[in-house]
Amino acid sequence: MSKSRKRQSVIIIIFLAVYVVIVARLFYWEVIRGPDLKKIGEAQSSDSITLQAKRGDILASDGFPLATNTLSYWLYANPKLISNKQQYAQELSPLIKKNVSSISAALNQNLFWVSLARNLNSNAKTEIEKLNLKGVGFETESQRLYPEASLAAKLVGFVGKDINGNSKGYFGVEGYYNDQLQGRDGRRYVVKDALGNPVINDIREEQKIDGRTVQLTIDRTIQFIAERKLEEGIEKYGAASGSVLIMDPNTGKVLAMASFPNFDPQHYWDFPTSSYDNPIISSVYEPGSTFKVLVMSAAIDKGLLTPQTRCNICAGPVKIDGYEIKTWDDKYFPNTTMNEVIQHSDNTGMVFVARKLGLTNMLDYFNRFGLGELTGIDLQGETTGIIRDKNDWHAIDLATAGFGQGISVTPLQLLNGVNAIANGGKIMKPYVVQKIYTDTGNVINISPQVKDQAISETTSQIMTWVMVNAAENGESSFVNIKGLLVAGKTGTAQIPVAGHYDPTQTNASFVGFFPADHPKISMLVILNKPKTSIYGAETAAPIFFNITKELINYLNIPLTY
Amino acid sequence: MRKVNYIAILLFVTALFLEIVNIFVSNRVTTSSIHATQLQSQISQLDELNQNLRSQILTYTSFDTIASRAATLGFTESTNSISIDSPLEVAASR
Repeated sequence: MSKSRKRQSVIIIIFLAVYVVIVARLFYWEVIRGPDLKKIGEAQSSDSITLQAKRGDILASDGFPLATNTLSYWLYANPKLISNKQQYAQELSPLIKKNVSSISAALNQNLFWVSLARNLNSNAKTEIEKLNLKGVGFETESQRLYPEASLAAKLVGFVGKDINGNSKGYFGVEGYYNDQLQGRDGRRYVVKDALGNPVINDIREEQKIDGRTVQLTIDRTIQFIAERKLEEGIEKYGAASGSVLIMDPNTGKVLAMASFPNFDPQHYWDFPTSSYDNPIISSVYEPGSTFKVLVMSAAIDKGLLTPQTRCNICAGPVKIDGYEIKTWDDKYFPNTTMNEVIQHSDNTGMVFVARKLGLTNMLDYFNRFGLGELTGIDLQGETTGIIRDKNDWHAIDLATAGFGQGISVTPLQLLNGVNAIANGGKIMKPYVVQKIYTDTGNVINISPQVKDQAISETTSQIMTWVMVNAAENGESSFVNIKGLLVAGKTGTAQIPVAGHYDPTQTNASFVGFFPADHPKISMLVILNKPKTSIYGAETAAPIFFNITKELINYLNIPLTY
Repeated sequence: MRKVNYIAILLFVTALFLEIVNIFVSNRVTTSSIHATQLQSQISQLDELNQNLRSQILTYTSFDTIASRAATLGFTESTNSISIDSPLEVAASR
């Protein structure tokens, strides 16, 4: 081989070798390290932001939001850009309502970012911006707003944080419907140019799904009236607490649900956790004489009694198992009729009824009235009353159950049972949400549901007029509204304390519906431990009729006589 | 040979033309992105203002606020009521 040909071969071999090295290195960077480098490149040039889903609103029946969303501002600072920290602390202190020393301490930290205050409203933000302070800024956050403050707070619930710091609804509607209200966050992926601007044709998005909005059956005006009158009544009669429940007996709609002590869901953390409970669905109590209407209904429905049946044990106290059962005022009416037993709220008469009914029938009717089981209302926190097992009943238990002691129910269970007297005998499923609006604009209507037929329509009509007689001629007749037919019953139940009943502490109540001939409203008022009088006729009944006076004007219910 | 030259020149001119078009289009996309960002910022500001105003309206028109304001202004509850509806028939029925 000539020298020149040798040189050519060497050069070609060198070029080939260099070529192979280049290809090998390209293979290494493009194929083996390629995915890693791609990720680094994306991290440098792309960005992703969370598209926060809007939580759905909770609307009253008139469309006014009882719970909605608003913006709040998180004030932060960069201490490294602030020279006169003390001056900043003094200027910010009155606006963010923190003391100067704590702001100063935050600003003196050797950090690029410190939090100064959260949950500031737009007014506070505007005032801070006017100070033109360098090195401070705002992050925007979404916050729950309750425009009506504590109105229907126990029914609405509140939004707090779960253990991961995510927003979550607790109690009431916020808790029960949390999954529907919260929606689902989305994500936007953007590639940015060298200046940080998004490249339009390179934006990908996982769509967010906003939460659904729910519309309640709650009438804002009726709720407001109920809360005002209840609060006045608790103060006037010196009660420890109280509740009012107002429903449409024909459909099971809850029109108002009020309890005190109450809380403000906007600042729920300032209130004791016990105030979050809704006693109308979460607490049980011995209903006392208001329960008599259900027991009497059962006996009449079974055909065992009529309103004219006479009691042959009502001449004096009744002795059972070593106990003596007396009337509330120690007055006795020999041979009294069943109509008069309810009118006089006669405990001995109800012992007569309970014995006639018998334990098996009584428990059967408790079941039909929905006692001892959940009503199924769409609120978080419902509990059920306590009905003993059949084998645990003695003669005295049967007797006392006749007048509503020795058994426990929730206020909702009691009124739901009385609603059957008003509506022809049906047990309706109580509910508070009547419509759900989806994020796509669809509307889901919630219709009334009949759970059971507790008593016949005939029995319900008979019991309606028994209750009208009780309201007009019983111990609460002095607060009746002239011209309005109200079917009602008082209740004064002794509270069990450490295994015995305290005669000085009662749950005073009144339950009823009106107008009796075409019921539109049913209501239960309960006062816990009133001090001015222990009796339902003198405390709960006046509150019931005070609310009724407002409602007949608001609902244009005409007086009939 | 001349043909080869013409083809080479044509290819060169075509490449140059396409490069100019590429520069022009990229520039328009970038400026559109800047404009889009500015619009997005304006939308966010208006949306924020809208939400704040809505919250204020809801608070001012709530029963709670109206009742407090009424009490401050000295309004009291009306205790008189009259019914102007005619009474129902004597025989009331379900």
